[in-house]
Formats: sequence, structure tokens, C-alpha cells
Amino acid sequence: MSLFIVRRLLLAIPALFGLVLLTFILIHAVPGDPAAVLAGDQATPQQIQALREHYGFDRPILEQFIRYVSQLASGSLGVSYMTQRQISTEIIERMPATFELTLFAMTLATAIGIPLGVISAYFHNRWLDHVLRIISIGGLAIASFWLAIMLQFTFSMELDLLPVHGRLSQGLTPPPFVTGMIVIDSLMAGRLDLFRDAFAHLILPGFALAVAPLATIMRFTRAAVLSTLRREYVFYERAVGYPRLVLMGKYVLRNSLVTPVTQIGLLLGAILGSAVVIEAIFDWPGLGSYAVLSIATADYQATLAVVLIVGCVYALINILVDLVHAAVDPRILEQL
Amino acid sequence: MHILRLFARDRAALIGLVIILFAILLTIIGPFIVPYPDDAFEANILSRLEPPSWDHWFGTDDFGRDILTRVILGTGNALGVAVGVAAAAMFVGVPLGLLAGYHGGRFGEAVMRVTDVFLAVPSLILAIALAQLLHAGIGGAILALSLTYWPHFCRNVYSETRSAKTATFVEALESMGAGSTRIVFMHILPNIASPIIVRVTVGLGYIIMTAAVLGFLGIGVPPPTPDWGAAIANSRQHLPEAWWLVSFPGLAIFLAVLGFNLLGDGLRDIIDPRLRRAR
Repeated sequence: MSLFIVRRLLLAIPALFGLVLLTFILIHAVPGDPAAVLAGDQATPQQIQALREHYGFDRPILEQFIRYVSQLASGSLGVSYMTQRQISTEIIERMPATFELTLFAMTLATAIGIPLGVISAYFHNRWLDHVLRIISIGGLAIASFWLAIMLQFTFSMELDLLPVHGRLSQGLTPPPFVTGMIVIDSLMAGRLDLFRDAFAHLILPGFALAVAPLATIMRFTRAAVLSTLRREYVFYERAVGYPRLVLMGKYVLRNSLVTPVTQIGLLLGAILGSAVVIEAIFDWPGLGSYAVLSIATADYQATLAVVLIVGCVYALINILVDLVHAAVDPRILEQL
Repeated sequence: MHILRLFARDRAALIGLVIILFAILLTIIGPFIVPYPDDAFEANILSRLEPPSWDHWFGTDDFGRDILTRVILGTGNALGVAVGVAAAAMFVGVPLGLLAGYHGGRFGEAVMRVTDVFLAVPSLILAIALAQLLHAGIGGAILALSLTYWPHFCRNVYSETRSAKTATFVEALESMGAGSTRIVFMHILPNIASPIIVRVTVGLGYIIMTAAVLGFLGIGVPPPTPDWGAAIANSRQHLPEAWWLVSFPGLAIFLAVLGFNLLGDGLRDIIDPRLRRAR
């Protein structure tokens, strides 16, 4: 197993190195002074000069690249010219908020998507199945940022049921930092009032993010359950007289979940992508709204830093998914 | 004929096709039939933020421009970007995937490693970063989307080519001494055309969605040009008073993406029975 993990980690390195190379090429491919490009449209000449020296843009290209890589390897993503702070510090501060939101959305998508997919397959080609399928096709076509705004408009502005934006209501102090995810930290501190408030803030952005992956999980689960139902052992068990619900929950579902589970890595990537816009809409202080902020202020270093960090997180997620997959299906261990 | 009959039986795919044909029609005749052709660029402050009425079916925006007009004019923009990106991504991805799949070896390995790099980040985030760095308005957005989308094509074509390569007809051609370029482009390509067509159809919907996100973030066409994503971004400051500003451009995106998804699903069912949706 540990050999598997090591091999999987080694496989991720070339792609991540390529990503670094790609961002490097991009900085240089853009016409003009790379230092001026990186610093953004509103930077002062001093800031540009500082950047030029920091990255050594006046040195030979190979030396620049080595310098760039070693900067990154030492954990320095540069200094944001907007806030004058280390970008890596800012990103680390914002990471827990994004984890909280994306994990919540993924949980929501899985917890609703799998049962709905099973129900859809159970009532195959009856009206409930048709309704659920129309919903899932529609869910895949809705732009999540539009859905987010519509939810915000309906539930926060018109009905006043849920908070409009942020992670906590004004005036509340967050619980002591443990994981950085307020929902979990407040429970650990035993503050139910904070938990309720933080959870209410999670619902709308979480749901807006969850809809597309929910629809995908539903479709995959439905297809997988239907194909398992056609297996001979199911036919046999049915003939033996197992109750349908036991058959479904105990034997069919377990054998159908491999495909939906392998999708989770890809779906988490998609969620991380849409989180960029959703966080901006709900003023969620995470990586996504940081990226949007960096776009608005033309802070290119910050944007590239987000790309690199998300690339690393994405690679880790995919390794984790492979591990889970290997635990479920030991044959995969032999393939690598 | 058999394919047509199969297609005609798939109601969902037919609906998708109708939506797409309608969007194409709007792209062509849109500029001539919109109620207020001048509203593409001209502001009309006196009739600002009017709710939907007989005169303005979808209401007016914060510059007093007719939203129906701008939604219709946005269709051409959305379809144009989608087709442009898909064409560029295919132009790079299909030949590379074919050659990498057929020749394999070091070249194939190298191409696949390059696609790995582009797939190492969720494509939306990569597209946003690229579009921002290239900052050249709509051209930059198209280039960024093409750069993030071609690896998907390349991978798809690569694996299809790998399995087509072992077919008897390829072996026969090789034994007759046909050149590799001829085999790849004249014989393998037509045989793997159907999965490519399915990929493009679903991809067009995906590109429309991603382009809308870019428009929403202000990376794309410059302001006066009608754009669905930009219109939604602009509408936020007028909520909750003016719901019509945000609703209609969003519905337009929904319909366009839905059309391509439905058609893509239907085509996949017909073309590739292995992937057939369990019915």
C-alpha cells in the first residue's frame, strides 16, 4: 500500500512541474516587461523594480526559471502588491473557508444524489423516474453562478430566511481556531449558537455549488444500479424471495457504488472551479473570492499562486480518491 | 436512415435539436427582428429599470436598454465563442491525439504528459487565469478557453485511436504499404468520427457555460456588447428591486446549455451502444 502511495505521488510530480513551467512561459510570453505584467496595472515603479530583482528578470532565462522554481519550492509565492503581504500567508488563511464550503457541497451532493439515483432506478421508467431525470438534466444545464444569485435573491432578499453573505453574522466572534472550519470549530467549542449561525451561512452557497455534481452523481448512480439489477445474481436473489428493499440496499447498492465514487475526484475539481464565482457572490472569504479579487485588482502573482495551489490540492484529492478506490477494489493496486 | 429513425424516437434529443436550431436562427436573423435594434449600444436613461411590459417583454436594464433585444443579440456572441473555441480545440487536439495514439512510443507519451499539465487544474480556474494574463478581451477569452479545452479532445481521440489501431483493416492497410499519414487521416479518422462528434456537442454546452462565467467575471467582450454573463454580473447591484435583469440572461444560458446536453446525450445513445444510457 505504501509503495502505491509513493508511486502515485511520483506520478503527480511531472504534471505539477509542467504547471510551474506553463505559468513561467505565460509570464514571459505576454508581450512587454514580465515584471510589469506580474505586478499588475496599478503597480508603482518601485514595486515593479522590486519584482524584477526578486525574480531576476534581467538574468538569463534558464537562471530565471531555476530561481522561479526554487522560490516556489521554498514556499514563497511572492508578495501581493495590493496588501503588501506574503501571498502564501493570505492563501493559508483563506484555505479553511474553501475547504468548509466545498466539503459541505460535496457531502450534500453525495448524500442527496446517491439516494435519488437509487430511487430513480428503483422506479425505472415510471413517472417518478422521469421527474428525477428531468431534474438531473436541468441541474446540469444551470449556471451555478446564476443559481447562486437567484437563491440569494429569493431566500435572503425576498423571504429573509437565510443570510445574504459571509460566514458569520456581524458581531459574532468566530470560535477558537482548531480546523479553521467554523461549523466544526464551534461544535468543538460547544457553541451551538455559533454553529447554527455558521450553518445558516453555509446553506445557500453550498447548495448552489452542489447542484451540478448532485445531478452527475444521480445519473451515474442510476445507470450503475440499473446495470447491476440486470445481473444474474440479482435475478437469483429475487427468485429466492429477498424483500426488494433488502436486496436493493444490501446487495445492489454496494456493487453499484464504484462508478459514482470514482467520479468524486473529478467532481471535487469542478466544485473547486465553480467555487471561485460562488465565493465571490456570497463574499465567502476563501480561495475563490481571493482569485476574483486578484483578477479585479490585476494582481497576477496572486492569480497564478491560486492556480498552483489548486493544482496541488487537486492532485492530492485525486491521489486520495485512488487510495479509496484501491481499498474498495484491491485489483487496482496490482495495475500500478 | 436507421440512425434518423432512432433519433426521431428520442424525444429529449429532438427537443435539444430544436433548441439549438432556434439559437442558430436567432443568431442569423436576430439583428433584424429585435424590437429595439439600437439598444445594443445606446443608452436610454429615461426608460431605465422598467419591469416587463407589452413594450419591453423582458423589461429594461439600468441603461434603459431592452433586455429581450440584448438577450437575443447575446445568442450570436455565445454561439460564436463556443464554435470558435471548439474548432480551435479540435484543430489542435484531434491531429495530436491521432498521431500520438497511432505512433505511441515516446511521442505519444510526451503528448499525454503535456495534456496532464493542462488537466492538473480544474479547467475553469485555468481558463480564468489564462484569460486574465492574456488580457485581450474576447480574443483572450477564446484563446484561454481553447487552451484549456484541447486536452480533453486530445485524450478522447488518443484512446479511440489506440483501440482503432488494432483493427484488422488497419493491419491490412499497413501490409499493403499505405503510409502512416494516409492511414491515420483517411482511414482511422473517419472511423472515430462519431465519438468526436458527441464530444463536440456536449463540449459546446460546456464552453457556453464557461464563457458565461468569464463574462460574469468581466473577462470577455467589452461592456456595451450584449453578453449573457456580463448582463448577470451587472444585474446584481439592482437586486432585489429588479428581478428581471438577472432572470432572463440566466434562462438563456440554461436553454442553450440544455439544448447541447440533450442533443449530445441522444447522439451518444445512437452512436455508441456501449455507453447507452440505461433506459
